[in-house]
Order: sequence, then C-alpha cells, then structure tokens
Amino acid sequence: MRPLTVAVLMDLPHDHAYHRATLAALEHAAAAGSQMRSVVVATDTIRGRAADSLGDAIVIGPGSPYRDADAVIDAIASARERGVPLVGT
Amino acid sequence: MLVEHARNLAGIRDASHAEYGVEGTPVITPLACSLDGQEIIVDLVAGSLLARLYESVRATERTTCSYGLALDAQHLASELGMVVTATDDTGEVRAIERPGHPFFVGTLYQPQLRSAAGRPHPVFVGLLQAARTRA
Repeated sequence: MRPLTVAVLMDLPHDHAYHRATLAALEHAAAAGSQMRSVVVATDTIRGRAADSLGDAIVIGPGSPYRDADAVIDAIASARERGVPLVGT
Repeated sequence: MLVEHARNLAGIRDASHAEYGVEGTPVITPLACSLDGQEIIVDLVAGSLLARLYESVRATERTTCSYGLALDAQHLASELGMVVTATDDTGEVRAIERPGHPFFVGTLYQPQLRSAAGRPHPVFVGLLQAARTRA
C-alpha cells in the first residue's frame, strides 16, 4: 500500500502555530492507520495544476489572504470536478 | 470553497472575499463580532458526513475566523450540490459539504487546533480515509 500524499495549500511561515497545527493534525490522523506524507505547497506555485497532480487529498490551509487566491479557487474547482478529497478550514 | 461555488456554479462571476478588498460581490464578509481565538459550539446536521465522522450532532471547536458567509449569501451554501452541515449558536453557517463528492468539506472553524496525538480530529481522519479509498 503506497503512502498517501496530502497537499497542504498554505503560505504561512513554517514556524507559525497554525502551520504546525495543520501538519500535526494530518500526522495524528495518519497514526490511526494510513501511511501519509504531507507536502506544503505555496499558493503562488500552483497555477494550472490539476488537483490530482497535487496529491491524493488536499487541505486548504489557514492563513488567508493567500498569495494567489485565484489559484486556490482553481484548485478547489479542480478537486470538486475530479473527485479529489478536499478539506478547507 | 464558498467563493469557488459562487463563481463557478451560482454564476456570480465576481464573487469575492472581503479580505481581498472591496471589488466584486462579497460572499465572505467580516463577522459582526470576530470569533478569532474563541471556542464555539457547532450543531451538526444528522446524517451528514460530518455528523457521521464526529459520531455526534454537537461539538466544541476552536476558531480563528473573523469572516463568514455574508448574510444575504447564506442561501448559496444550500444550493447546487452543496449542503450546510454545521451551524453555530447564532444560526450562521459553520460547515458545508457536497454529498455527491467523495470528500468535500469546508469548515468556518479550525479542526486542526483540537487535534492531538492519540486523539486525531475526525475531519482529518475522514479526509485520509477518503483518499485511501480513492488511491
């Protein structure tokens, strides 16, 4: 069973409490049974990327305003259309 | 997620989030009273994915939100395949999902702030389960 890749779209500094809490929450959930690696992706690097090319699941992380809010909206649309699991918090 | 919904499905092409300025039709606007740093009680809709994950219809959550769905846009969250699955004690929308999608959940609170080792938050457990089912 291959590890899941979860893309976390988030621009917060790595030492920000909400950045750390989001990644920790994924680790806590993975400990319940799914091998997983999380990848933090800056919003100004995802223009034109289909949701399923970003990961097996997507987390729209906290910390708006995003550097590229329209790219985040496009990623959400792509996840909706392609059936990619997504949570926005 | 609500701005995407408004723009691409509800036909409000200039739907906007007030945090990004005053242009367009704001569907996300500042809350009358910011909830940043507070705990809120959310009522979950029985039978929703969220309620099934929580195994409850009520939860206490932490929030950093200073914005919410505009009062005159509340109906958008219950249209075009989107349903409201949590409200707060003021009746305002606090979570949405798309029942026809494997896992499409948006919260106007921050479940990650309540997660802990050995006590993972059900929203993140559900996300990984859905991803594993699909992988």
